[in-house]
Amino acid sequence: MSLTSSPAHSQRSANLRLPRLSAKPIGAAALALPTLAPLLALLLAWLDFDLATWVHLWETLLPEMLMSTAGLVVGVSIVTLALGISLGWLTARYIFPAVSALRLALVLPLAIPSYVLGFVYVGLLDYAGPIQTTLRHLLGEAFEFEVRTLLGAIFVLSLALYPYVYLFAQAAFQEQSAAHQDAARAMGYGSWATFWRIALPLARPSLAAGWALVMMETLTDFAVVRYFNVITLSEGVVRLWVGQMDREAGVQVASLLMGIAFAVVAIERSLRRRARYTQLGSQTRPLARTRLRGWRAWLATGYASLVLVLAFGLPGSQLVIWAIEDVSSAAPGTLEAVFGAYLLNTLLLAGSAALLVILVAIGLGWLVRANDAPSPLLRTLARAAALGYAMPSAVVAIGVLLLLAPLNAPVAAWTGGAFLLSGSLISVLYGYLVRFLAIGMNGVESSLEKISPAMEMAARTLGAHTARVVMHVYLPLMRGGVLTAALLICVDVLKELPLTMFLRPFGMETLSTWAYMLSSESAWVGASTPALVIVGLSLLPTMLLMRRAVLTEVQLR
Amino acid sequence: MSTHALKVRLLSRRYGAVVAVDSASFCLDQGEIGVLVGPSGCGKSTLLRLVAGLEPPDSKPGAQIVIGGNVVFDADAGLDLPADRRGVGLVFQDYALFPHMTVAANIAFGLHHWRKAEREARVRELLSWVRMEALAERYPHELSGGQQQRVALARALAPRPTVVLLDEPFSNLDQSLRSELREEMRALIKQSGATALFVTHDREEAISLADKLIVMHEGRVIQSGAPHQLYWQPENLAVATLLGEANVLEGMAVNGYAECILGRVPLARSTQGRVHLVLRPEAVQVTPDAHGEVVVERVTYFGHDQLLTLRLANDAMLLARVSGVQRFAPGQRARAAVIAPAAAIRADE
Repeated sequence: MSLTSSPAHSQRSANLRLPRLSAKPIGAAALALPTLAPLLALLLAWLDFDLATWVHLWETLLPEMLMSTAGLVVGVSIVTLALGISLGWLTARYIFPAVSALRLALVLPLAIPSYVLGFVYVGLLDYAGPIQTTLRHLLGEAFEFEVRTLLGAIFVLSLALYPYVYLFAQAAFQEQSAAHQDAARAMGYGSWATFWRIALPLARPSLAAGWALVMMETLTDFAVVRYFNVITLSEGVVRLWVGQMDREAGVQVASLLMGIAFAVVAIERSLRRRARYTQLGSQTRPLARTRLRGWRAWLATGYASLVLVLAFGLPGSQLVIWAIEDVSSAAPGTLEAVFGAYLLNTLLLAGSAALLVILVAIGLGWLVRANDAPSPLLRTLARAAALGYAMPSAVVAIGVLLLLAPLNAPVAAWTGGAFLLSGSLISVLYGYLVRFLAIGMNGVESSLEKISPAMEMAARTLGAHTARVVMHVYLPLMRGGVLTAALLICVDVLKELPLTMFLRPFGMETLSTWAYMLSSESAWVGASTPALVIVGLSLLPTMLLMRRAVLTEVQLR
Repeated sequence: MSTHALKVRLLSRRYGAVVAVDSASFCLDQGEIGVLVGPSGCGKSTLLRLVAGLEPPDSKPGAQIVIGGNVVFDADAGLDLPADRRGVGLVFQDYALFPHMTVAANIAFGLHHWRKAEREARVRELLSWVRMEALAERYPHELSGGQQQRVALARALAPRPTVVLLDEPFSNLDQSLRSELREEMRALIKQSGATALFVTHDREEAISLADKLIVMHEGRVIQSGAPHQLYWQPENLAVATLLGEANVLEGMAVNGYAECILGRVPLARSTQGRVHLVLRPEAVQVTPDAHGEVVVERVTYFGHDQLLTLRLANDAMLLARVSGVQRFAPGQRARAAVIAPAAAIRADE
């Protein structure tokens, strides 16, 4: 706002009043740029474009990586949309046995990270697993099927991720007004046509948001695809960077992956452009739910229950069974010692990441808000700083490593070789900051919205200084929203696998890396205990979601 | 130093190329209720925020704000006190009560420098003054709109500010509640002895609240004074039309009278030459007369009164507001007479 006033003027008022705009873009840039920098570093890597690397990639892994990624993206999109829309429609519009319980419980699978669900299913369905063993008993020794395929990976990822679509779809169908549907009915549309012509297009922006979340998780996954022997781009990055130590090729593939992630964001934005029209109906008469009768009712209950059992009940029970086996078979004391150390590491990382993210988010929120009319530049910076959430973890990790690499040698020299920057608490926390800043900013912004500018002015004209305004107005009103965001960040860090794997200090194990390490060696029983703890803790924010019953975009933006 | 409770001189505020407030000057006496009125976008809210210290005025030579004898802004001296040191109270459109504090804590917020016993006594005094003793421990969301407004007023007045500023405080209320609460708030402010400055775009609200109306148009203060004076003696057409329905007729003024299509009309102030005559509809008396020179074109009947649209001999239209007793019908002939002095605005101005 005082961008346009004379320099002399803004300087003078800066001395007498709250600091005015002049310092703010710089402050915001100082906070936003570090979180953007890893992505920029990856973009800049294109300057080192090396045809030979690409030719080599094309002759080796690239075609397979592209095909599998495309297959996975299309497959998971179709299945999650089909599951999410059908379940959302059923629970929003119909009454059938146990519908209220199912409406909430269908969110539960969110508590099981996909890499946990993945190893449980591989363990269950593998040649040596209980299901194939049983079938061999019944059908003869020759019976065998291969579970480690693209279809298997699609099956597992879809079961793990459909709740994102379901949550948005359910909310959208529930808030649609009766008037539109009645109008369509009056014009002679049947209920099937009404669904396709009215309800589904109206829900489009919400469905796009849910789909984008599914895609982000699909692109970031490298564990499930590894269990199922599918080489996607994410898996390729890990394979190239860690396995073959081919940094250059790893960077190029990571930047390709980043391009796809940007495309997902762009598609989501364009599908959501008219997002407002979902809210138009919220004022009007809500739809009455239809009661299903007879076999239809039981079919609906059966279908929803089957999905819930496959995505949560069955894998959850298997985890418990394995964990009991693990705990009872372990030598006394060993499990507790290892477990205690890893749990402590996990909590340390989660706690410090949450603190860091919240502090940066508060700084950015404050800077954007302290302006009466934030400049477009400032808003764009704040938005861009949150972009890391849409990026696959492998992309963020490699961006961070690229950025820190030039500092490695000086830091090592300075500390006498005792400290490697790109495998330290600093690098891993940096990665978490980039990836989870969006959650923090969302929490901070939604709590700031409760505080009208007039409220701050009222406090000021009542003689309150900045410190008093912060202590008595901002802090008490923001506490709830900020603590919720901190909890979500903690759980996301607890579940996060690729970033932790790439960026953690050497030898530092967390619950997620431990579970993954054991499961990648097919040690299902050993992996089940840390996995069960992760699921248990993830239930907390899932319950939070269930209580609100509607995903108010806490997860994103 | 003047004895005005609030003196504003030559304040301006531009946003880029847009001049929101342009060399505005006005003053208020101790205990006086001033109302800034004008169409939306005329700069009245900005002017209020400049006075409160929530926004910096442009530092044009001579620009000054004096509150209770203390200079709080002076462009020449480079002085600009922040909002918390100006001695103003503020009541917002949405009241901006702190949602996490009780009514009593809200009122006590500005009294943090006071000793505990005095603070508690002051809060009790204000609570009883706004008749909210029973609701002291309620939270804002548990109050009605009118109650929230009273709490906001009590909170703003608690530290005994010299001037209390109120930004469209009635716009969030039901139409039916407004006039009642307006009376109530005016009485409360008068009783407290505070000087008040309201902002509103509602002319009825402005006229009924104000001791002194300050009319703004395109960033400038175009006239200020007592409501009756501004209503009957507007100095320009913008003020005339902003404050109520007005017939504007061409005329030729000679001392205390002007000649126009209605004949000889008395003037509120004598002048000479070509003038625009501003004639309020209620200053026109209409008598049914089959040989009258005007024709009733349209009748809008309100019960207590009615608004007649009359066609004059030269086909111009004239609005007349007359009592609802007499019955008029479209097409009827009548006589029109002017029964109150008209305002004359020089046509060359």
